[in-house]
Amino acid sequence: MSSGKKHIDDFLRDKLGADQPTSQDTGWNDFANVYSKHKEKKRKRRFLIIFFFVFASAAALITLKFATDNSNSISDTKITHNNNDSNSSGNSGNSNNTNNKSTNLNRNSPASQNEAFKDGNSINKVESNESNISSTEKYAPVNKNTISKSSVENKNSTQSNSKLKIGKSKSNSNKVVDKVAVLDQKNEITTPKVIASNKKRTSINTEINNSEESKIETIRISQPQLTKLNSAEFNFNVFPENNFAFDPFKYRDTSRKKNKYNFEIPIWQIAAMVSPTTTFNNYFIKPSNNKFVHKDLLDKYDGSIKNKTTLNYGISAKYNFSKFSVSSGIEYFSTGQVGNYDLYVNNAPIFDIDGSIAGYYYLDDEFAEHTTGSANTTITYIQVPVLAAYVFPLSRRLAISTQAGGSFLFNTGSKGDILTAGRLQKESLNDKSQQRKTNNNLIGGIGIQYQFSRKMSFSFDTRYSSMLKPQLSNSMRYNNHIRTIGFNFGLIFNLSH
Amino acid sequence: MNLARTSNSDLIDACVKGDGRAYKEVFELFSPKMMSICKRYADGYDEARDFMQEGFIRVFDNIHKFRGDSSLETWITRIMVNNAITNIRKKAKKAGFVDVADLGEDEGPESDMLDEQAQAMEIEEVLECMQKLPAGYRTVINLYAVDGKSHKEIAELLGISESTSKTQLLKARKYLKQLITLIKK
Repeated sequence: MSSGKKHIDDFLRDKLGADQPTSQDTGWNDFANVYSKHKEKKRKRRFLIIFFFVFASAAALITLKFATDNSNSISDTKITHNNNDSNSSGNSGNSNNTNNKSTNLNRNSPASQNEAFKDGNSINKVESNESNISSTEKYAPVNKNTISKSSVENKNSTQSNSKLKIGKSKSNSNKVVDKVAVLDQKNEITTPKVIASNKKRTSINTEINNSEESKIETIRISQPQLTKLNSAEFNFNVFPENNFAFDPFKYRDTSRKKNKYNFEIPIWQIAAMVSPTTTFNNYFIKPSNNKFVHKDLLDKYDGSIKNKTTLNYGISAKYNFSKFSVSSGIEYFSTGQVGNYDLYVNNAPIFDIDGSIAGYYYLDDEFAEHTTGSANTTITYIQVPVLAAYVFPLSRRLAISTQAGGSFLFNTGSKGDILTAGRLQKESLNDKSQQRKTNNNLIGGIGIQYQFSRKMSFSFDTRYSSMLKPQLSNSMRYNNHIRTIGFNFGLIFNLSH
Repeated sequence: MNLARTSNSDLIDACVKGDGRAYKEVFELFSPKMMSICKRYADGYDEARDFMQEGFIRVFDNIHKFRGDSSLETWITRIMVNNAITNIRKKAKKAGFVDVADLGEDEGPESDMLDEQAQAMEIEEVLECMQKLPAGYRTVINLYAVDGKSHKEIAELLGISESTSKTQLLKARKYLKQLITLIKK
């Protein structure tokens, strides 16, 4: 190397490596404006994502709800037509009460006595909604000679009572077929109204959000008086508060540094999940109702139904205090059972004057009442869970989470057939008086979370829930306790750190 | 300006908590140095300022990730350089790496030596020459000569082959020397 000469690389390193601009203008004001716009843009994007997410989820829930309602309506209509046909032709051999009645009366067997009681029971059911009917009218006479007459009378009574009932509520009876059809039409008319009102509400929400966003756009950064600070004497309290507005989702130090794995726990998270959930039905009879319920009911259910798996889904928001968090949201939650009824009711009950079962006649299969058909039922709820959770970080990206809490359940519909308490006949579950309108779930679960990016995590957890109250109402005389086990697959979006 | 980690820890915590005054303090503390780095990579002052502002946005968006493994200044510098390179790569995708057609014959090791007169140049003059270099040359010579990266690292950073990095460096030296000579005349 020649003396006095320098390699160009060394020259650049010496000149530029130690370069310190002397300008005092650091450009903070310009940067503050740029950064403010950047945060504004980021916040808008975040709001849009949340809005889209909530809107899409709500739309999906509403769509599913009305799809379920429509399928219920179609199913009811079909049943109605079948009943009409069978009534007009006078055929026997199905579970329709009128047909059963004629069949059993012709046989003139002990079962026919029961059918007379059946009509009496029908009246009783209808009349149970009418409090002003005297108890002496409720039951058919026990005397065999009067069975046919009282059957006819009872039939008429049933029709007239059904007329009254239809005017008052949505509950209907399979016995008066024409009236059921009228009710179905009524349901179909009301559904579009609900849809229209929902649409209206959605558009209002949109406007509100937009107006909020335009307000936010008007925020401008106030330029603080620049004061040169000595870094050694730096004091954060020198400047007034809020002289530089940033994000409403203010950054906050969370437990990220408090757990040794640096597992990031943002303050706010939203999540979407789908959950294949298996329902376990446990039918039971309260001791006080034992005398009103057929002794074979539980056995018949055990032999007919199986656990049902449904697909539930929902969205939730979570606030993390540190490793501890609380969350809530809205979920579509459904339960039910699957199976088929193929029942011979060999023990025909004899009802007492108060509707309790005094005893049973044994019948051969030839004479026993044969009930067939699908045992599938579905009961849908909107669930609002409130859960407390705690995470145990395992690594920078992986953590175990445990959760416990409760939920509010709002019954939104049901379909399928269940068995009546006394005669073990199929009865449609589309009458809401048969079920509780609200209920509560006790929830516990454990799962894992995997953070595959700063913004998103995947979660999988097993959730056990148990309804605090029976699902069927007291009018059914027997009840069921519903427990579920769900496997939740979720996507978690981090809103802030 | 290389502040000790402990003296910066309060500042970093305040930034993590979203304190605007802390942001300002960090910006004023490091922006002169960062501006000089950005100037080395940028085509001109405006682009350098854009690089720096974008770099600081990244710094503040990610300051919660700063673990203190290195000094804050080193961490910010790394973000600035990476940000500048990302921008240059974006530009290169559109325009491609410009190759100066005829730089004359290679005159051996002596061709990369600068005389005393050239060494007396002001920093601003050197930066001016740097900014006249095509982006590819400028980036490679910056990374190699000033930031001390190897050809392998440069190749990874820029998404080019090592041989391309070497070729670009040789041409950058030659071109830069011609520019410096021209200015000194």
